Order: sequence, then structure tokens, then C-alpha cells
Amino acid sequence: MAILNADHLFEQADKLASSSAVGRPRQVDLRRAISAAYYGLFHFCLAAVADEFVGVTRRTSRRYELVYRSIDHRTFRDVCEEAVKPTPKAAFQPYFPANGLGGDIQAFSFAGIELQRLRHSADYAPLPRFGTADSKEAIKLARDAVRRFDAAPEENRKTFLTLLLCPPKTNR
Amino acid sequence: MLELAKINEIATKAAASILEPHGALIHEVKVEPTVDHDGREVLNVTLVIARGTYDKVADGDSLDTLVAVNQRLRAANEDRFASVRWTTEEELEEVGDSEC
Repeated sequence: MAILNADHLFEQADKLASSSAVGRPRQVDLRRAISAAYYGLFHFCLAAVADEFVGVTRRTSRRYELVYRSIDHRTFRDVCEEAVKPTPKAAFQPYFPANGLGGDIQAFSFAGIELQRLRHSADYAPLPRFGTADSKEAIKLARDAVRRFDAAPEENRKTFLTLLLCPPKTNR
Repeated sequence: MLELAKINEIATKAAASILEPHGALIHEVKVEPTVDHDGREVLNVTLVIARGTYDKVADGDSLDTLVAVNQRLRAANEDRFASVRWTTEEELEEVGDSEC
């Protein structure tokens, strides 16, 4: 089994963001740190979905791999965006609890949106300059988001994971 | 959409409410409207942490600040997502370009 461990990705990000013994870390290291932070969060989510619907004991199965790989970045962002809205889109509303998904899932979702956006900029945009504080806070954001997800009520976690796997059809 | 000055005011108060109780002081907040990779309008909110206080930013503060800024802006009917960037007075004063 070779599932990408979120904590390992965060630790890799830490090393990259602090990579220069003398002077400032290179832009490439700060950018890769942000990217690693996002991927830690994203793979945490993929594993959570596959663990929920296939099972932790089946992590070496093809079925686990199929579910794990079924979540794309766009769906992850879309579900996060609905989770933070006071009123989600009509297609999502039947599946949300009456009072929303709660503060912990919302916090996780804000982080998901932010880190995906940052990752895209870090990986592709040539103009922005990233500083050490920026990269370190992105890593903290990702770690905090995982803690908040784990602290959320079970039903809210399950609802969020189900929406990731089976997003309601909407007109994009 | 809110005017930038109002967004700045809301973002500053939201961030200060999270950071200042821990001793991390805000030197300045900069707000810039921009467009993300999908063409969506977003706000770049850059927090400049005051000299010597960055180490007071506690675990949890990044996420709490992001949430607070966005929720307060939404409560004021600002729908654009606010991305919170971080820097320090010391970083802004560094001379020259870091190596790519």
C-alpha cells in the first residue's frame, strides 16, 4: 500500500519552507511547500472517502483505488464552496442538514478552497512572489483543516464525504 | 460588491480579533481584487504582521483568520472569496530577489 500520507506531505512542506540554512528559501521551495500542503489536504480527503465507502482494511484493493481516484480537484472545490455558503445551491440542499454542515466542516472547506487556489498559483503563475510566512501559514492552514475535519460531528463528516463521492448534478 | 476601503476595514478587524489576543500585531492590511485560475473574481487580502510579532501567530490562527475574514465579508454581502496571504514587516524590507 502506498497511499500518500497527509502528515508526510505536511512534513515535506515544512522542510521545503525552511530549506535554506543561509538566506531565504528559494521561490521553487516555497512554491513546492504550498503545493505539498494542498496535496496533503487533498489526499487526506481522498483517503477519508475511500475509507468510508470501501473500508480501511481494504486499502490494498482495486475497489479502494477506484473510489480513491474518483474525486477530482474540481469536485473537491465545488463541494467545499457549497459547504461554506449560508444557503447552498438547490441541488445540494436536500442533502445538507437543516443547520448546515457545522463550523468544523465549514472551516475545513474554507481551507480547501484557499489551498487549491494557492496551489494553482504556486504551481503555474510566474508573477507572484511567495514569502516564508505565506508558505508556513499555508502548511499550518492544511494541518488545522485536518484537525477541524476530524473534530466535526460524525454525521457532518459523512455527509461531506458522500457529497464528494456523489456530487448532486448541477448546471455548471 | 463592497468598496475596497470597507473590505479592508472588515478584514482588518476580523484578523485582529483572532491574532491580537495572542500578541501577533497587524502592521497593515492590503486588499487587491483579482481573478483566479478559473476566471472567478476573488480578493487578495495580505496581512503584514508587525515586526517581531510573527512568532506569536498561534496554531489554529491561520484557519480561524481565513474563516473570520470570509464570514464577516459575507455577512456584509460581499460574495467574493477572500484569500488571506501572510507576510511580515521584516520580509517586506528584505532587499533583492530570492533565488528562483
